[in-house]
Amino acid sequence: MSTATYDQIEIDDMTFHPDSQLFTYPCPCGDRFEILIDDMVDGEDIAVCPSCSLMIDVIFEPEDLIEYFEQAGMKPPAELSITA
Amino acid sequence: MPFKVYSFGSNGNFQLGFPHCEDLMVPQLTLSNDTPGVNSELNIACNDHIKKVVLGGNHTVILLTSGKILLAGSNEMGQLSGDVNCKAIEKWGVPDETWLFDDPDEKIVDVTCGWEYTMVLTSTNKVYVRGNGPKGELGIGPQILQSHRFLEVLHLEDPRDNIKIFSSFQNCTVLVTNPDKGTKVYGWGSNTKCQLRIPKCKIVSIPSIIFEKGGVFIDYISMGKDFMIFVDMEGSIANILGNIPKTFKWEDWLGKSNLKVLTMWSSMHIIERLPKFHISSYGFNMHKQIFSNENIEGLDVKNVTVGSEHGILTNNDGDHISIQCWGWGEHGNCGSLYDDKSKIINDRSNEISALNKVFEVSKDSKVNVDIYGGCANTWIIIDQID
Repeated sequence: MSTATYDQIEIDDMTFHPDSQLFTYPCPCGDRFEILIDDMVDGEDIAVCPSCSLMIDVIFEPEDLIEYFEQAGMKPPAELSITA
Repeated sequence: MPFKVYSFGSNGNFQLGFPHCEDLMVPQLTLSNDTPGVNSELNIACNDHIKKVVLGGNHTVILLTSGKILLAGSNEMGQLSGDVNCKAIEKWGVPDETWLFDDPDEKIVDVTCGWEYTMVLTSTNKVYVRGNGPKGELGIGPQILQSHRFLEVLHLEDPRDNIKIFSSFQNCTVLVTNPDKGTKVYGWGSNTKCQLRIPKCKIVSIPSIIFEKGGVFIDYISMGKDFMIFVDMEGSIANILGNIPKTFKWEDWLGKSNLKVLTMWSSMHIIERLPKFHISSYGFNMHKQIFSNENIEGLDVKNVTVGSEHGILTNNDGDHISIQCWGWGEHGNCGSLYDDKSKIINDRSNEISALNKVFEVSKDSKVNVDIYGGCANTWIIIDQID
């Protein structure tokens, strides 16, 4: 875990919002950590809280994202299928 | 009895009970039954007082000893009101008809909150939940994950059952003790960290028996974000479940009694009174949530509680009772560091807080001071005894 992050959270524990294409997870301040699925495709794994300084590491493999693109009715980027 | 309730800290959805959603770093009077002009519309009896303050992710429920209930904060998921157009109760409100039951004699006797849901126990030994339950928190199966009205989850029919309800984040527990049968605990919600049972699974969506033992009498369950600790009537740790902080070793505490166990989201805190007051903390410490016992020297601590990532204590301080906070204070919930307390809007100047005095109550009149911690907010109850 990065020393700068509050916690490590597995992707399965996060909530995916197909409309906004955001993964979210509750923050102890009352707001939610969030990260865009497209940023995760690009290798980002830090979700940030818009209301405070806390961040979490999101634990996932690139191929985990395929089912969420499908949930959003979008074609998964080609690089995810290649990785898988 | 006359009472005053002060709140401060995280307030993004009106959960502090004020008609604004600014975070506050100085305690402000939010509720009273003896202050002219404050809450007169709520018709709180002058002899009523606060039984319990329960704090969800963004919503607040206060239960008074008369049974009266007061509500504030987010209703995004129906956790407080049946009105689907009401996204938040922006100042203290009272329950609507969705808080009534078919049997007019059935009254709410206890209440707890999780992230986006509210759970109640009624006088007929029924347990109901409302709000959002994507991890199974509503406890009525996988089909219904959100409700703007209470759904019946459990009915304990043995009149000798003594029932208590607890919740945290994404889990609910119902503790049933019976002089003939010992203890049975039902649990539901998220199980990704085996906080309910082994093996892990994503969701337990109906009440599942997570503990059952004859001759054992559990007093309460202290629930962190993804772990829980069962404490028996002797004040001993009787069971632990889930992702317990790694530094905690249960064997160090076997045979010890008269403990009080508190849990923040990511840490646990064991309080001992003898031979002298001491808090043993285990878990995350990035924001100094682990209590530093050097702070205890010279203090006469009366009570301790915790919020999501901060702690609160009351101290006998000469002529006063002082309220002091420590830990993660980014939302103002550990108080201001300035001498000038007229600057009340949080400026994030006390992000990681050493033990900080946030409030003082004179001992001139007989008062009982109670404290509650929520998601980065802090509550102080001052109850006049006579």
